Amino acid sequence: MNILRILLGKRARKVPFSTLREILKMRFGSQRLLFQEYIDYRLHDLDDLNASERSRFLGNGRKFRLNYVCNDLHWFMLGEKLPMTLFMMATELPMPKIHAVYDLNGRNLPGAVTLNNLDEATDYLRTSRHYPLFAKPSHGAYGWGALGLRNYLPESDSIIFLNGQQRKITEWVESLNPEFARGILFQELLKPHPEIARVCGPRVSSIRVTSTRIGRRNTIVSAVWRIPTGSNMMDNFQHGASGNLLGGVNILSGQIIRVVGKVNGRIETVATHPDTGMQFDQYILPDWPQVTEICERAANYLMGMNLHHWDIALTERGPVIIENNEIADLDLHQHANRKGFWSEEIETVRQQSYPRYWEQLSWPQKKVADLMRKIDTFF
Amino acid sequence: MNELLTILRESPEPITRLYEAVLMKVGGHRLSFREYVDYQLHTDQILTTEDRRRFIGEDRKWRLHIRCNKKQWFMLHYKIPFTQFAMGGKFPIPKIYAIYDKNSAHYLPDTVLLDNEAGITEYLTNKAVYPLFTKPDDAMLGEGAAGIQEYDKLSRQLIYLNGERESVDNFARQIDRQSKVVLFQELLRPGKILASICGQAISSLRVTMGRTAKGLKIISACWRIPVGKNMTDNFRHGVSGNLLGGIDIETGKVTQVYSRKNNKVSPIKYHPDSGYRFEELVIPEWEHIIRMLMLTGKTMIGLNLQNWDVALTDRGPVITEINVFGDMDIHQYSNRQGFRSPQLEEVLAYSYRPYLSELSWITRKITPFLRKIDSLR
Repeated sequence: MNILRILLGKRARKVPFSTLREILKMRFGSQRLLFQEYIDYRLHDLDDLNASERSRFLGNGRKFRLNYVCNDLHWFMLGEKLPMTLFMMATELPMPKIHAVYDLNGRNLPGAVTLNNLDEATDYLRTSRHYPLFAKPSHGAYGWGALGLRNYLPESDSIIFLNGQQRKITEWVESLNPEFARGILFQELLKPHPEIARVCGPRVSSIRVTSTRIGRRNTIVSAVWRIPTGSNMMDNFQHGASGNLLGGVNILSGQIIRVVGKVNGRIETVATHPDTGMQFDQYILPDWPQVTEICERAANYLMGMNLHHWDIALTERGPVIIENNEIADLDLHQHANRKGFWSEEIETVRQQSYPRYWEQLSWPQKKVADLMRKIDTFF
Repeated sequence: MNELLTILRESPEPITRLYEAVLMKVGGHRLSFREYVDYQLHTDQILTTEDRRRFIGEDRKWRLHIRCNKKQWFMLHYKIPFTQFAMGGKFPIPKIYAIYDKNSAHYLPDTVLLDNEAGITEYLTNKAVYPLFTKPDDAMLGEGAAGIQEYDKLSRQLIYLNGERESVDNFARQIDRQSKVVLFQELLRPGKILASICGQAISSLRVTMGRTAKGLKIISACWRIPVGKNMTDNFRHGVSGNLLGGIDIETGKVTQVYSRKNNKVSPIKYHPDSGYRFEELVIPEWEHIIRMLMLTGKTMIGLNLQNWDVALTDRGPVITEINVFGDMDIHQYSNRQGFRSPQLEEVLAYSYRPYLSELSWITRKITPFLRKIDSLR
């Protein structure tokens, strides 16, 4: 069905055979770009990219293989927020302060309060001076389970969330699943940089910065500004489902190239922020030089990783590292920058990392990998 | 073959012990005949059959640790990331002053980075704070480790802890020629009591802890005792000449000390250098060590079987490393007790579900079958 939509749709290109050849090659070749993704990226109805540029788009499924090759599996512990925070606490790099950890299996963090059971967690949250807080799972993705907590209301024994909603404390804490989340973190609620607050309203907005280690150098290869909208407490795009926007970033200057959002099921460019009405055109992200410097310094410490996906919040106290993703979505970059993720740098880092990846495979995996490598070779 | 003959020749009940040795070789213990004889289980008349069957072969360490520890946490096997992790928690660890890495790919906060021979020479002659301890980042069993007492400017020589000397240029050249990452770190000094027993070489404990449904528990502990000119205290299956002491984990009391002589591990009463009598010795600050490891161990959420090395120093206990794969023979020799204790079984049971959940479909199908083989019968 999707093939027909691509080939015969209202805005289909006038050369259906070359298009058919292209989509099949990208679907079954190393790009693994699904027909649906081809449509989502609007490669079938916009003529703004040439064939070579289109061929650089990757299917989101490729993120696993790409990151497994580039990043040492033994370092994936840093994908969890608790160990990552502890690891980075040794440096002077800015990270949010974790005040308390709620976990039934005794996970903790030096310097933070350990909440071992439901009663301890509710008692902690009934203390007004602990607010405002930000709650998030130690192990999670797409911002699932992350919430801003504004205050405690003793008269109704409820929590008021940042978006104004209220819930009974016990009911909310019972709904948390610390075992699945590998610990729930109650951390400092970051305040947005004044410039970000002016454009996006009073909530934190972050940048996804992807960098590579090639030889001795860490280089930023792509960056995306995640723009929260409406009553969202998080800025995650969630493939467009969240209603948030994405901004493509010029990695040299921090200037916004374009902003997109999902409108009527399609990715469309957006000129102004829907809540504040501020124009995105020519907008330059605050503290961009500091962002690049922090990413470079932080990447130095991740010796086992050659492909980094940093989430950096732009706050009133400067850029703050939220996390590093060991495996990260590629669609963010491709939608925001309208540019395929596969670049010369990505190919170089992939090739450079291959011997280490290969070394860790078992004998049968090596046999399969040999075949996979042939398929993986981009053409 | 020789071991089988030894069992038949030396055992008080040859056929029963031979049967036991075969069972332990092919069963979940994977105890080789050589190990069965080394542990002197064939002549033992103190341990019960059940006690003897808790001994496991060294090969089992891989499978045991893989079942308990998540692969994603194996980065802590390397000293640089482990040090950074421990620095974050302000755990007591040796200070790393400098790192040599030809590829300049390793970083650690507040550490000098060296990447060539000239840089090493310059560091050792002008910047280093002596005494120093050097070791490769991924070293096991103390391989490649050396203690440097001082640098003699006149002769341009490094003076090692054991009094030997080496030209600084030669030392730098040797390091630069090999491909390993080398650490230059604080030389730890033994506490007063330990210095009177073992001299100036540092002595450490191996404490193995496990996470169970009821929290962290100590499974076994032993004391590694340096002897002679050895600069490290590793036992290396007895080859190093160092001694091993068993520890009562409740009290920290040293139960028995062993050495390897004439290819046989046997009890020893006195330290061969100082003549110190080991009987009634209690490890200094034992309770503090346990408290410290319990706190530290809690942060290692991906590691359910943790093998800690804790140096006994003049500034108190210092964590030198965590081993994601720890040798089991040191526990079995020093405590005269099989490693597969009921406590370890609890750790294995606790770790099994998460272990299974991370396997591929096909491995998950094979694993329950392997589990049956793995169980001790």
